Amino acid sequence: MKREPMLAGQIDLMVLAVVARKPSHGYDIIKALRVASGGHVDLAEGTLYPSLYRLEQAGYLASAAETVSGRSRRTYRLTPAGRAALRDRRRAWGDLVASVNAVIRGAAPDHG
Amino acid sequence: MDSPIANYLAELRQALRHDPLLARRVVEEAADHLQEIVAEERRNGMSQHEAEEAAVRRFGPAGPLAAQFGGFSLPLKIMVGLSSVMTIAVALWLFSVIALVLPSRDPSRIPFWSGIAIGFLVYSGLCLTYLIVGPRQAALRLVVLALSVAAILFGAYCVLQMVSAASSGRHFEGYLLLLGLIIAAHGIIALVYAAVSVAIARQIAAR
Repeated sequence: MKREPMLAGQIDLMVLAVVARKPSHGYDIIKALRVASGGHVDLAEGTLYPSLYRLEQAGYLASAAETVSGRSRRTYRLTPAGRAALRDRRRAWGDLVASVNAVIRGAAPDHG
Repeated sequence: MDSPIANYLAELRQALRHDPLLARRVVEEAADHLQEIVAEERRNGMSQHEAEEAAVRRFGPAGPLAAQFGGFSLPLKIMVGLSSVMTIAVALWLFSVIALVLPSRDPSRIPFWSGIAIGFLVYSGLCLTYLIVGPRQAALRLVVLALSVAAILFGAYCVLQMVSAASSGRHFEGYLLLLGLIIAAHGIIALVYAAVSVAIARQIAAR
């Protein structure tokens, strides 16, 4: 079963969680997502950037550009609003998972 | 041999050409990310060309990626849009004054203020069009730049007239001061937007 569509809706939450650990740039965030998920979160890496941009527009992330090895690199950090959003989204995700688990564990076996 | 990364970045820049500020930012971030992947794949034993191809593949197609930024707008764009709407509101208010007040009070000023109101509408329409099409249309860009300078001069003239009237005890018309401030502010914002977007578009094209 393809995980990508299921994961796509949770990218913002996962990005906030990764950046909350330490300020990071895009490539580091993707690596952290892959490592933390045991390789299950393996998205097209470019899809991270609309999420980062969106979160910054919402005030959850702040970014600063610097020059590294002659290249411009943008590092993102969590803002206080982002920390609050992460807390709320974690709680909502926990509630959702608990609800879905309650349904699927309580469902009658499929006898075909 | 063509560089897959250079081709990819050109495609991404092209897909985001409607917003030069956003294009610059996204292309710079993508370039950094792609080079990090290349370094990683080179350590895994790939050639430079293979590593670049792998980087582009891992990053995902440029068109769908650019489309995901489509709904975003920049604060300056919002300011240009809002100031255009304000100027349209001023023009509509002027039309109501022309229709309801001037015929009985001072009919000789109707042609002048009609021209001003039409000019405001045209200027706002061009600014909104420029926001949508970006700096690609050279003729539109020149017209917006020229009209922005004219708007600033006209607005400043109105404001100075009213400041002078107030300080010398002559008849002071508050609406003229407000009109001058709105059109001058619109002109400054549109001028800055046009100048910045043109400068960045040139910078991107030169890379």
